[in-house]
Amino acid sequence: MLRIAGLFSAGFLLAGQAAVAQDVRITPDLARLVSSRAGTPIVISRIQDSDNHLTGEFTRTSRPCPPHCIEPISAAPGVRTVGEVEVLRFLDDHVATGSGLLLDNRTPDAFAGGSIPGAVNVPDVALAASNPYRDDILTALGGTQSNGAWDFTGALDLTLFCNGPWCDQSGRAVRDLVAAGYPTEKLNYYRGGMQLWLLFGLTVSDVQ
Amino acid sequence: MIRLFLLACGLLSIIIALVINDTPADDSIAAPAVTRAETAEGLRLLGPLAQTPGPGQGPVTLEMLARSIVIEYRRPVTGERLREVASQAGESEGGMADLTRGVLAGLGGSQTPEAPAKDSPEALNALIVQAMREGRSDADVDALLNDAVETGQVTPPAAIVTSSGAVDTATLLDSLVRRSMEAQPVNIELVNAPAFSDPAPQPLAAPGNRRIAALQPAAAPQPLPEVAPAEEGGLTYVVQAGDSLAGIALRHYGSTAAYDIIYRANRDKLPSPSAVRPGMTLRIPAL
Repeated sequence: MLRIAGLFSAGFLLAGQAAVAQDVRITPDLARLVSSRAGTPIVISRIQDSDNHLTGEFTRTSRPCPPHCIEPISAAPGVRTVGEVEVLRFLDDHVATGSGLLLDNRTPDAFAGGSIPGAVNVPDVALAASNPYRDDILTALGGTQSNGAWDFTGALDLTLFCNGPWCDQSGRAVRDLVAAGYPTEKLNYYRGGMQLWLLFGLTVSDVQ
Repeated sequence: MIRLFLLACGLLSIIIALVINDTPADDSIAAPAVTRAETAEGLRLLGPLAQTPGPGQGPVTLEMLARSIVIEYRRPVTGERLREVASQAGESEGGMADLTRGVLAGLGGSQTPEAPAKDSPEALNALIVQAMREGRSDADVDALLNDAVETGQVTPPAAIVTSSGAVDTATLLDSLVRRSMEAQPVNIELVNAPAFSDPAPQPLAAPGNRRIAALQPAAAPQPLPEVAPAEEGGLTYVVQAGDSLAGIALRHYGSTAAYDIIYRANRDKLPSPSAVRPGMTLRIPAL
């Protein structure tokens, strides 16, 4: 009787372990990120199939340059360049608490095709000085204007990304924000973008 | 006709200036958009902007342009071409407004996107720019604007409303032309470059000549308004049919924005800037 009970408990334990165990973690300590943005839950993990490969557009090696040139590590002096682990930490520490935003600088249809969960779409042309409505966006990011001068002390922390290290949209967006007076310490450049996010099999938001 | 031409020149010179200024120093200067714009016939200037890819209806949206960029993806695409295409999207006032609204909706979380305030000048300007792009005549623009006002689609700023309640499109178009002429000056060398796809290059007017043409009265020549010297040394003006406060300010001070000066000086007669009536005598303060 005890032996059978022992076998069953061992069986349950093993089954439980199999359900919880992830062979493909994000970091040794992190299997998945469970966070939120504006009250909507976000779960980010990695594709668990070790034989999974990228297919299609994101496997290309030689897009025409210009405009798809290899971007330097630094987008602008004083602006931090970050990787996936930092983006996840940013989502948990800043986006979930409302003190920061993850910006996808691609065009709206690219964003609708799938993005990093928790990201907001702000195309780089919207942040360019040529957008007559840019002031509204800067205000929504937490800037305040008095007599034409901007005050960004209360502005959100931002992490910007686009399609990958061959995409210049985020670099431009970062430089446009810096030119508008956005504090460089509040800006982060996720150079890896969708290219690296997909390469690691990380969760992509649903197609809209 | 002249007004359309000047307005188109003005809009396109802004586009050109933005395209040029956005080009980094190490890129080649020649930008097809510049030369294509500087052809003589006024309405043909609107051609490239009016004939946009896609279903052929509505303003150029960023989505449409993004798609055309993706199609060009496979062909050798230079930085200039992309920037030219992107700046055309940027110049579509309706397009940037829509895009910004979408962005703000996303930033606000679950808020529904709001249309631009109906009495914002942008709404009115967007309508005019749209009409210009479609190559409509002055009379058409006038009808379009007044229709939009009547159906409540747009609430024009009070200063531009005439005594009959209609929109003073003449003044509005004048002020648009002025504003566009005061925009960034165009590099003369680039303006005089041979036309991109024009078989017979037209002689190009120097910017100086264009400016003089713009300062000539764009509306039908009207008799000079009756002015009588007032006791305090200022002028008075008797409102005519079809006058708006902005138009009166334009005529006297050279700027529609100065309507506020007249409005404040005549608060006893004007409960609102649109309350001007034919036969009313307004004080025009000396500046």
